[in-house]
Amino acid sequence: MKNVFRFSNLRLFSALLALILALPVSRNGLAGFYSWLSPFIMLNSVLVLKSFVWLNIVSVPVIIIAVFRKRWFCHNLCPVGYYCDLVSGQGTRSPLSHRRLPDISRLLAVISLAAAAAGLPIFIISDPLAIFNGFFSVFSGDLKLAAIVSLAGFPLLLLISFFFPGIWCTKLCPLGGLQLVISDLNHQVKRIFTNRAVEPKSNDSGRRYFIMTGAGIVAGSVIPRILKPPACNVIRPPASVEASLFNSLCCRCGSCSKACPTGIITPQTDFTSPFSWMTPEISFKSGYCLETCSRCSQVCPSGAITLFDVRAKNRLFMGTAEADLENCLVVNNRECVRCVESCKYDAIKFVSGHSVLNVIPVVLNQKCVGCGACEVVCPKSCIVIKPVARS
Amino acid sequence: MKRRDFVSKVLITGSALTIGIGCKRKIEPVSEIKEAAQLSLNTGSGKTIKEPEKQIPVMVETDVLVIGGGPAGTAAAIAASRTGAETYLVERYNHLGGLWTGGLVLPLLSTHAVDKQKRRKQVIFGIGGEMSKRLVDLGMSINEVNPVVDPEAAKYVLEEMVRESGVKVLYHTWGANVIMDGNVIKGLFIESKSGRQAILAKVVIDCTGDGDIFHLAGDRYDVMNYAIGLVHRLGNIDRIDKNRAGYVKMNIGTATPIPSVNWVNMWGKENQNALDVVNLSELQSEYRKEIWESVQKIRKTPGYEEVFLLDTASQLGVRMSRILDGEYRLTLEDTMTYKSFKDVIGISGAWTTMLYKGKKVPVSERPLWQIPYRSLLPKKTENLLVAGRCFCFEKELVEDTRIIGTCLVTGHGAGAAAGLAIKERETVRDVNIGKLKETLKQQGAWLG
Repeated sequence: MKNVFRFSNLRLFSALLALILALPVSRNGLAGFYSWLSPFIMLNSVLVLKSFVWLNIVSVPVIIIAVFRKRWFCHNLCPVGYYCDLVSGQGTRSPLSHRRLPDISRLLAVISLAAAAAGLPIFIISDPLAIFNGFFSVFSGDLKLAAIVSLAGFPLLLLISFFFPGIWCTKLCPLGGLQLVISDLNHQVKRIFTNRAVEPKSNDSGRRYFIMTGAGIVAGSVIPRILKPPACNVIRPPASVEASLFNSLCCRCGSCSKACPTGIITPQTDFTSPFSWMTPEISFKSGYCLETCSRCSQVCPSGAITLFDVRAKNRLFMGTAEADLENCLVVNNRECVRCVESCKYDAIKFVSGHSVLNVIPVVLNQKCVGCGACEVVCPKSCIVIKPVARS
Repeated sequence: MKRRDFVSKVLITGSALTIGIGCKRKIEPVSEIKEAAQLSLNTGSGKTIKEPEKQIPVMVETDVLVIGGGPAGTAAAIAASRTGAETYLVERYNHLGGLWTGGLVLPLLSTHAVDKQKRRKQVIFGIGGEMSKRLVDLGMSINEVNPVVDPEAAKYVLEEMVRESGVKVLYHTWGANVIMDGNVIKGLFIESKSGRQAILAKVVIDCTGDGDIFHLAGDRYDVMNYAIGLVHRLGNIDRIDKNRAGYVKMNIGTATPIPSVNWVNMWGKENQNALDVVNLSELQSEYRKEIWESVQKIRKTPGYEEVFLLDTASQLGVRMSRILDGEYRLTLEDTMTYKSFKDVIGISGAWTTMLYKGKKVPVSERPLWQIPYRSLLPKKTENLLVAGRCFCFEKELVEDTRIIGTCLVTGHGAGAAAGLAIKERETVRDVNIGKLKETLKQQGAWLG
């Protein structure tokens, strides 16, 4: 009894902490920290990128615990599970029996990871912690209605839990599935390497895994070749991976939008490019990409934004400035030097045209990283950052 | 071994390997080779010669001596004189107003800004406001926000105000050197048609714009190179015939209070040293040629035949040179956060978009900002005040501090402080701030 009391306390604490960290109240490096706890995101990211960042270690204890205690994370730390259970308790309808529903969670987990190893983390966006964190970016400022609707994954889960209690956690959640897989694997490993006769629960579980893995690898290597998404023409945060991979790797957790001190990262809601739906896009309305900031890369749990050092920012090209000089003040012999002064990379120079009286701002493409300072500061809105074509 | 076991083993080892080959991921900076620092320009021959010692006649002993008759100097002299102090104003050209009038930088910028209640309103009052008001009354000022004035009218108005307040002006005179007693400035050697003379003063106000006086007095300062231009005016703008065949839109500048006259700003060459007379002379000669050729080109364009070059500015448009290292360095943060100073001597406004902490602050939202008295006080020299574009601020703020409006405000503050110091028989460093603010308010200044 004592034990249960303690654990339920931990659960409540964890759920509240996750809520506080997910809310965009303080734009700091801890935004959406809970996404780092998800081994599902971590494994997808590590398998795709074949590299890791130190913060990935946060989710390793979750894996280790899952080896010994199945679903310990779900019962004690997962905020989504907590809030879903809260809602299920309120449900007046008798829970439908979903015993017969096949176990989709394992399927999602294995296929996604196998596909990730082949280069396409196919179900990374169905990670519960990403859905949870993503929802709270609704409160981060002026978002379009389309974005708010798209971010409503977490309320949807609550709604599902209200009508079908437990269905998400037991049958659908890929993070839960992954923990089950790990525990199954533990059995399997014990059986194979110790040659001890540990009876598996079902005889064909090994075969099932084999088929799922194969399906995942095939999906991961074939889908990107069949579906060639058109290169979407948006400005990505600095050090983003290439466009096609970005769309599949980004788990839409919204942490980068929340962490951005100038609030220029917003979810993309362009109907013409459905594959990049809800991925972070930069629009220089209120501010620019600070030369002293690398927060979006620090908080990105999936590695879609590669971790970078701020001193490397002069090589991280987001776009390039293009000036339409018709209304430019200095071209029209008015006093203005805002673009040149605001550029931290010395990428804009005033160049004399045919005479000293005819000064023109010129963008040096090799130096311009597209941070947007000039676009933001230009009093006549003559400068626009155009996204760079990534190779 | 069963086939299934074999496959499982392969899969497990394979996945372990896949994770195992992973490496740490971070984009690191590349160490770059820094460009060699540019050697300082040495325009002299390297040879020196000793100037013989001689006795210099003392022209006058006065209370306040203002060097430089630009917007800051004129405002300072008027303010000091109005407190009852005997005031001399030394000006190198034949007019008052400096770059505002002779330099043809006609717009009086930053007259307005947003207060804490988010209302955009006029912030520059006091002597600067009085000048502006008189120009409006003469019909020689257009636009209510950031007005553009007529230079000759402004010269006249400034002259009138100086005369009315009893300031003694010495035109065609150059402040040549300081008279020091240790750290205390005692007056100035001036150079003019009358030769070298001395003026002894209880308080000296450096309104040279280039900070010549605090440089000579041995105070610390920064030097900022900036673009230098030369403004000119075009006449007969009202006679441009837009219906002429072959008419194209040309750059003919912007309107002034006189309908037939436009003023044409010039950004000029970047990164110029304004403290090098050879450089200034070369720029002057190059710019005059460029302006002449540009106007000839305009005159050859169909429709513009009657346009002519009315005048070029009588002084180069030096935007920045020395910046004082004073008792307090005004920061961009101060101006963006309504920072209030106990020793506020004036409030200035905004005229262009700025970036603050990565965010855009358009003119319509820029806060008004206070200027503290300490920013006008040099660290070392006693009895010296600094007003105009060379007072103490951080370089991020340069767009707002180097303009006419702010110069008028700092000038007024320095002049009132000097006058008060004379009246109360104390040094400018120890001036009673309460009384100073009272004096400024009596003279019409607005301190928030």
